[in-house]
Parts: sequence; C-alpha cells; structure tokens
Amino acid sequence: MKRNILPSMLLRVLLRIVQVALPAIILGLSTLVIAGEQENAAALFEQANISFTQGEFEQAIAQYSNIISKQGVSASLLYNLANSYAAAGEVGQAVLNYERARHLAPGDADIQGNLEQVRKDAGLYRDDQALHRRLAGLLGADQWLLIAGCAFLFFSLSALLASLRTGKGGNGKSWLMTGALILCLLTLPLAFLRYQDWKVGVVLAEDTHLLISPFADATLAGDIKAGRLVRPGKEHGYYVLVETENGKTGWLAKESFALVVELVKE
Amino acid sequence: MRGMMTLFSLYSRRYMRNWLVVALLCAVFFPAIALAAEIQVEATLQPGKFSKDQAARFIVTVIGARSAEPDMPVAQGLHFTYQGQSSQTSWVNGNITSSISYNFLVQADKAGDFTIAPVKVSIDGKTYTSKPVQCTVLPAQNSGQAGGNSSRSGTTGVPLGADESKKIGFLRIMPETERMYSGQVVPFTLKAYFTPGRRVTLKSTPRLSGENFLLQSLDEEPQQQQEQVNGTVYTALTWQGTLAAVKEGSFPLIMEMDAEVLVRSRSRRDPFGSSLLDDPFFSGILGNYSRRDITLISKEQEMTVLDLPTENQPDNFSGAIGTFSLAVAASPLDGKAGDPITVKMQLEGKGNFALVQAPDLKEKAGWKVYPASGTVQDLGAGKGIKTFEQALIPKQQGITAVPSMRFSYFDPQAEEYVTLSSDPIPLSLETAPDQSVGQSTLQTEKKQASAALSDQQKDTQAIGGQIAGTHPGQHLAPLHPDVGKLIPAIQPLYQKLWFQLLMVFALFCLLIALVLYLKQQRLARDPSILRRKKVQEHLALHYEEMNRALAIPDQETFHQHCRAAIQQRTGEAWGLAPEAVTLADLEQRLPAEAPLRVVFTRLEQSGYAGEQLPQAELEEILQTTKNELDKLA
Repeated sequence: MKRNILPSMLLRVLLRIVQVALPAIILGLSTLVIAGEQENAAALFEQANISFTQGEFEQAIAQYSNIISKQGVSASLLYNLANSYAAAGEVGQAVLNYERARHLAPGDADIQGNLEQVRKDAGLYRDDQALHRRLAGLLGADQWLLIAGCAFLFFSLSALLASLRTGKGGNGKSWLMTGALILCLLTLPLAFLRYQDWKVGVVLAEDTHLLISPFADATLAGDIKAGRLVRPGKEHGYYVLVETENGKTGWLAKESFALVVELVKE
Repeated sequence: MRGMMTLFSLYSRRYMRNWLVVALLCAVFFPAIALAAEIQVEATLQPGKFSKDQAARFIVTVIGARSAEPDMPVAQGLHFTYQGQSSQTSWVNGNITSSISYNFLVQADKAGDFTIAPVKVSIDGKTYTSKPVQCTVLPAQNSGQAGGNSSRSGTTGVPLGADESKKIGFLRIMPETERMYSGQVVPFTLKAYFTPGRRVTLKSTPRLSGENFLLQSLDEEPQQQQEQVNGTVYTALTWQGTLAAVKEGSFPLIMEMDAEVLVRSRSRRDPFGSSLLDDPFFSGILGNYSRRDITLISKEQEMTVLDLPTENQPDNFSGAIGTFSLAVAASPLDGKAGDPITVKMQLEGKGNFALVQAPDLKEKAGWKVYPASGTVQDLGAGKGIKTFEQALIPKQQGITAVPSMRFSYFDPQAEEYVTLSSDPIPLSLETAPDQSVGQSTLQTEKKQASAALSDQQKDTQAIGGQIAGTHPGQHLAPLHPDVGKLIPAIQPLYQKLWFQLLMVFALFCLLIALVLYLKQQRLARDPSILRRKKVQEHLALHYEEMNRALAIPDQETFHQHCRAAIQQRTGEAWGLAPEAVTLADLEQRLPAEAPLRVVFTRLEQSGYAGEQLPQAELEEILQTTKNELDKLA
C-alpha cells in the first residue's frame, strides 16, 4: 500500500507547484515582453526625435507613425508627431494629432500652446465661444466625468450610511448627500458637452470645398481650410454632411477629413 | 353601488385612455407602415430620343417614401447634372401616396444608343434599384429649327399634333436685357400660359435649349395667376431665374418644358344610330380621355453677348459683373502686434456672385495676410450677399489702421469698370517691449512650456530653441523627450472597465440604501410589524427554555416559560402588555373549552398546589401551546 501512496503524493506536489508557479511564470514572461516592447518603443521614439532635430520631418513622421501602428499611442508620441507635421507644413494632420494628444493629456500646456500656435499661423480662428462652452473647456471630458462619477459614488455611500443609521450626525450626512448630488448633476452635463467634442473631425486636405449637395459636380457652398474642425452628420455615398466650427454646413468628401477619436491601433 | 360605479368609472377611464393611445399610435404608424411597404423606384428619361446638342431630363421617382438618397446615375458617354428634387403627395380613394422625384440633366458626348444603368436609392438603410433606361442620342441639329412660339408633341406617350398643342398653351421668356456680357448673370422671367379648363400636368422643369446659355437658377415652384393675352384669359405659371452666356456672339434664347395633357378621345359613330355611351354626360363619367405628352417651346429671343472690354480693366478685377456695394468691419481693434484681426467683408448687390472674389488689401506692407473664406446668400433674381472672412496679422508695431479694401467689378449698365474702396479702420495696438512679433510669440510659448517641463525636458527645450531657426515649426514648444505610457487606443473614461465597475458598485450601494430606506419607511408606518417580530423572537426563546426544562426536568421553569409564552402572544394579539395578561383575561376572551385557556388554568392550578405533572402531560402542554399560539399569530 505504501508503494502506491508515494507516487500519488509526488504527483500532487508537482501539480501544486505547477498551479502556483505557472501563473507567476506567465506573468513574468508577459512583463518581460511588455518591458521589452516599451524599451523598443523608447528607442524608436528617440530615433524619431533625432530625425526631427536634424530637420528630417518626413522621416520623423514615418518613425512616429510606425510606433503608433505597432505599439499604440501616448500623449507625448502624438504631440511629437503633430510637431513634425506642423514643421512639414501639413496643418490638417498637425491639428488632428494635437487634438488627439489633447484627449490623452487635457492639461498639457505644450499641446495646448502648440495647437493654438498652429491654428493661429494657419489663420484658423474661431468665433467667441458661449459661456457654458468656455466653462466646460476648463477641464477635459474624462476629468469632468471622473468628478461626476466620484460625486455619484460619494452620494451613494452617504445614502447607504444614512440608511444604516450608524453613528451620529444625520444632519451632516444629509448635507453631504445633497452636496454630492448637486456636484454630480452639475458636472455630468459638462462632461456630456465635452464628449461632443470627441465626435469632431479635422479637415486634412488643402483646397477643400463644401458642396451644397452630395455630388461631385454640385455647386460649392464655400471653402474650408485644412485644420478646420468639422462635426460630421449624415452620410450619402462618398460624402458626409458636416458643420464647421464657424457654423457653416455642407457636404464634404469622406477622405477630406479624419475623425479625432477613431484612433484604434492601426 | 356607488362604490361599484366609481370602480367601473375608474376602470373605464383607464381603458379608454389606453385605447386612445393605441388608436393614436395606429393612426400614426399604420400609414407609415403602408407607405414603407410599397416603395417603388422608377427612372424615366424625357425625351427618350434627343440630339447631341440638346439635353434630356432623367427623373428618378421614388414612390412611397418622403425622403431618399439616390446615387448619381451612370452611363458610358452620358453626363448627368443634378438639378434638384420635388415631392408630391396625393390622396386617391382614401389612399395616401407620397413620391419624391430627383431631376438630372443628361447630355451626350456623341450620337448613338446608350443604356443608363440602374440607379441605387437608399431609403432608411435599405437599397432599392430602378430598371435600366435605354436612350438614343441623334446627331446635332440646328437649334433654331425647333424654335418659334410653338409646342411639339412628345416622344413618349401618345403624341399630340403641333396645331392642337398650340391651342393648349405656350411659353414666353423675358430676359431683363437682350444685350449682355459673357459671364454676366441676367435675371429673366419665364411664363407658361395654358388655356383654362385643360388638365395639364408639368412633367419637367423648364430648361434652356442649346449650349450657348447656362441656367444659373430657377424657382422650384412657379407662381400661378390668371392673365389676359390678346383678349384671351390664360392660366399663367411664372418662374423667376437667372442665366449666363457662355461665349460672345448673337444667339437665340429658347426655353422648353415637357407637360402632359388630358385630351378627350373621339368615339366612333355607331352606324345604327346614336349610342347611349356617345352622350357627353356619360363619356365624361366613363373617363373617355387619354393622356398626351407635349413639349412647350418658347419663341426665339435673340440675345447679343459681348466680351468684356480690356481697356481700363483694374489689376484686381476677378470677373465680377453686376452692381455691388462693399461693407467692411474688423475686430478686435485693441490687441497688439502679432495678434490676429478678423476682417469681415460683405458684398451686396446683383451679379454673378459665383465669380466674386474677396476684396484685397490696398497696402499689404507690415501685414501677414491669410486667404479669405466666403459664403453666399442667394436673395433671388440675381441678387445676393457674399460675406468673406479674412485673418490679418499686424507684423510691426506702429500700425495705426487696417488698410482699405479694394473690390473691382464691371458694371454692365454703365459699361465701365468700377472699383470700390473701404475706409481704413483705425487700430489702437498696445506697445510691447519686444519689437519682433516672432520673439514675443516665442517668449509666450516658452512660458507656457516651462510650466510643465522638468529639468530634463528643459535640456530638450534648448535643443528645440537651437533648431528654431531651421524649420517652419520654429516657434512651437519643443519635443517631449519621453514616449510615456503607450495604450492601444484613445478610449473615453466611460468605456474603461474600472470606471464601469466603480459606477456599478455606486449604483449597488444606492440600491441597497433605497431598499433599507423603504424598509424603514414601512416599519415607521406600521409599528406592529416590529412588535410581531419581537414577540416571535421571545416565543422562540420560551419554547427553547421549555424544551430544556422538560429534559432536566424542571417543572417550575417549564411553567414559568409556558405562561410567559402565552402572555406574549395573547398580549400582542389583544393589544395588552404581556405581563398584564391574567387568567381572568383568558376567561373573558376565550371560550371555556379553548385549549389555551385549559392549559393556562392547569398551569395556574398546579403551580399554586405544588403539584408535579407527569412528563407526558407536560409534553402535551408544550405541543398544545405551540399549536394554539401559532393559530393566534
């Protein structure tokens, strides 16, 4: 009987070791792979920066784009790519990538400053925005939503504590609940308003025209510069009905603009 | 009875309301469903045969829909120009039919037979297709042959004789002037006259015949009124439009239009005498009519087209012909050098707005000038307003005004070039310590950048500053040295899993809080719930003690808990304090043979007498007490 027990015990011990060690091995290997990729990305990024400083903007654009297509995006990567496009004179692409970078790092002064500079250089001026728009513009959409989410969480926890009737200070809890609810209700519309800006596109092509109907030989409804923000609406064939940031509307060929947040790993 | 009536009235009101909602929904949705179910796409070409120097009208009609998105028709050797859409809703025998027609002008490169491919139409996400259309293009003809104040029979349907067509109606085109310049937009009035009492349906919008003129605009819907011409009263349809000449010379201006007319057919005479059906009354009722196609052609209007004079043509003349006025405004006027100023220029008047370019600066020195963007507002009859926006940046200090803007056009009435100039707009620019705009901008940007940069980044900033003079993005903040954390895509917060889980947790907490709150409210409204619960707890305790006393055995404890159990339940049931319940209460409220009263009496008697009850009787008492107290609950 003893001869039979020993192999089964060994088997159990081995299984236990595999159970404990295998996830650790997988975790370790994946960490190594990620770290390796990150190092590789950092090296490529450094090379692209050198290309930029040497004035080889097209090469820098290709290198930054290569990192994006293989390993994803970051605010700095998109910002440097936008700088390269701006230096190469491609205003539309520059504005597009600054806008994308701004979504990842809403408070970055470099991104904001360069975007404004490029728009100013290209004559892309905006009409004065309404007060609620300016207020919403103080923070990014994610930031407003995070505040609203935290306020909602706080409100729910306060409500739970109040309903459990633990401890004293019931009046204080009510005030906290009311405050959290008001904060949530105030910030949620601002987040919604800011998320509307995620649905915009940027005109890429120079000498783009708005058409009054979605046909190639339709009458022109006006010119639109590269780098202008447009809000796409309904589609018809190869054309999309857009509204520009200055309130003009017209049909625009699909390939003339790119959506700001359509950036899935290419 | 009154209660029943009220209940019936409440129910009937509620059901009436529900039925009303259902009926309204049916009324709204059923026609839509009916319409959606009968969508047809038809494509027609009018006329089916046309010469190379003429154009035909290709109409895509979508029946059963109020809106659709057709693709551009395609045919090798044919050119299509979209000319607008028209919609129609008819009510026949209680059935509503909506249709929408898309009009395209068709022109051919050469003579021959052509096939227009099926046109795809998207309606609410579904695609419908028309049938292919055949057509024949004849060699070019002299457009003058078709002219004259006449009508000609159509090639589709049953043709009508030319003389008969003239009796039905005629077209008149009245241009504002007979002498025009190449590129000038000339307003015109087109009138179609029809003899009253005729049933005429327009099958196309009016079109220009020949290639010497281009139709710039035309009213979508004509105005209808009665007019007297040579002593005869006609029903007149009037369109306002504009046209332009393509080249200089003398050309006939002709317009034509397709229509359909209902004509009474002549019945054969019965050789055996007059039939009842020959009576005009019955022939009218029995619909003895047939549809005939006609094409109305206007009388030739000779037009003289002149070329623009080259003498005294201003340098900035860009082809604008007409009469215009210029208004200029600028803002802001109190910035500093390097700040953009938006100049709005408005040209209002009558002319060819398509060729109107933005006014230019008289003096550009010291200014950075960006291209202007313009929009046109069409006011009809060649009138309009074109508004331009242009960004200007003063590059130097000391600029005191936005220079005047110049706009040149050719006035066809005065037959001379006119140049409009706006007044300079005074500026009050702030004086900045730095004289160079580039430097001041760079300073500002560096200030912005330095707030976010670490020491390491400041080194890069120096590199950025070094290359500043070598590339177009010289005044931009420098590159970021670190790539940062890479993510696969830009994802909004609400799509992130952790945020969703956090919100689910918050919602869960809120739900629990709500449930607890409702429970508390329920207890507050009905305190007996809580009391009943407490009694239940006490009873469980007493039963447990009774069982324990039975096992020891300890009769005194058994008696005590059994009595207490009965007092708890009866006290709760009768609204008395448990300790206040006595045998007298039980005798008062329970019948003499009630088991609970018997048990309580037995317990009292044995307690006072010090009698030891047998184990079996105690067990029976316990069982009876439990059963009877459960019944009371």
